[in-house]
Amino acid sequence: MRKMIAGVLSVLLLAGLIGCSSNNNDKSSAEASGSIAAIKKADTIRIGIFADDAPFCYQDADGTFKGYDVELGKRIAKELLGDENKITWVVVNPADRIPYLQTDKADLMLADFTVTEERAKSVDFTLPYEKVSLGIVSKEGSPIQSVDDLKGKTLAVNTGTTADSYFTKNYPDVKLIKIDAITDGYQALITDRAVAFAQDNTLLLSWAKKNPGYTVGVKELGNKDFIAGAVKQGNKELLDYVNDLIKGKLKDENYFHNLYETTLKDSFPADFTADQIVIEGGVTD
Amino acid sequence: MRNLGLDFIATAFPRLLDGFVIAVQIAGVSFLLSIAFGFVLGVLMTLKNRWLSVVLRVCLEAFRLIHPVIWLFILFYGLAYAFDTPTNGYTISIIVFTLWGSFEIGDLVRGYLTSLPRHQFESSMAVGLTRRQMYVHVLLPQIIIRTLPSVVNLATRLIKTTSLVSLIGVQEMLKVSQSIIQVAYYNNPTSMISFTMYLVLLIFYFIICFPLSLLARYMEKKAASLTTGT
Repeated sequence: MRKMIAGVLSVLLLAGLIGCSSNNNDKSSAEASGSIAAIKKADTIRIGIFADDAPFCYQDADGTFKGYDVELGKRIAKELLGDENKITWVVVNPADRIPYLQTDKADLMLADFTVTEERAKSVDFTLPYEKVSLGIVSKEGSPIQSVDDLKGKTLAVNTGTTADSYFTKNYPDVKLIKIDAITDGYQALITDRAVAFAQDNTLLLSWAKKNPGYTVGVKELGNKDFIAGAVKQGNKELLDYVNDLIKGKLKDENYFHNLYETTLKDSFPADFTADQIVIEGGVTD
Repeated sequence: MRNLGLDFIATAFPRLLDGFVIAVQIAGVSFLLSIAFGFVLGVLMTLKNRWLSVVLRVCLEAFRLIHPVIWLFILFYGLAYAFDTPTNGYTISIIVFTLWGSFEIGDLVRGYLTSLPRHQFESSMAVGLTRRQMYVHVLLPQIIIRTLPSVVNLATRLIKTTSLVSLIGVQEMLKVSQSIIQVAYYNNPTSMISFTMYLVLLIFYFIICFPLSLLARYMEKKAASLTTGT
């Protein structure tokens, strides 16, 4: 008898373990999560964003989200739900972006997401809204002017970024330290754990402008890449919605050029123009 | 003097408090659940049922030997992939910490139960107590007294470990701090915010953990005097 009770108890225990971890299972309704109907029903769109990627997407000290990507997100929410505040911001690190979409933790990713062939196998990218190539920032006293200067030295990159895969693939003899948060990449440079930090040139140029003593010695490296939003693979409805917005209404308004003026201009060197960064209407030529 | 970034910390203080509350909530809820489950598990572990004890043994080792951060990731992503459902970082954190805490406490209870002298069981039977009465009136009070110091220590470990939940996207103290650091650097590159911010965090953790540590020490003394006195 006691044996039986014990047996039943252990089964219950296991069932409990499995049960309590999957209790949010049954709320998946008829409409797939991330579909426009589901977003409207929730009355909020979940947008994946960086909290530390100024001036593109960052969280200010008072907790508000700001930047170029953030404004785009607000505009999409305004078009879709009638209110630019109906957004649930999902803060991500670079390497979280694909799994967060795949596991329905965000409907739309607007986190400075560079389009690559590899990534396009896992998520669906919208039309691009920004262009970028890699840059390398280093100390003015010991500048890195070309990739050759990096031989045998340590370079900081953010895990899962284009810089990470570019150097891993093309320059295996450069020592990489891989860092999760963008902020900590700069810290690695400042505290001399790395002689340079490779990231998107847009990001580095604006950072170097704010930080005297640092220079973007390599301004354009690798391919010209595009930054786009992304949705879970197969979520064609939301993808089409965003694309139609980008090539329709927003293009007519010259939206991204105006956005450059209000969110990015102050962060870049004076000789930089909107056309060097923004893409209007998804047209990449 | 270099900028300490205190102005940013002041502006962001409400957010920091939110993060603090989340950390305390996760640790607190898991701790209470762990105590409840832990005592039950501890008693189950002493039952002489081979099948049950193998299952419990495996679970115990799994949660004790494998770092909580691995469990956080496994459940956070694994459940989402397996059941095609969004998982919530906050819920997952509580589940993982509860499982971890329950098995830790369960093992403490088991350890103490098995070390009890045989005569306690036999005397209980001899004076005609039922099994239930024996547990409630004879064994449980002793177990509580003896395991409390370690249980309180577990609470401080739980609180410290909540810093890991930022890895699955929960906006607790550490995550909020990192975002504050970044904004401060963006506006003032020579700021010493990294240092001040983490110093503030140190104070926060100290405020919760130090009283717990004092409590554990006090209980240890108390337990010693209680159990040697009888």
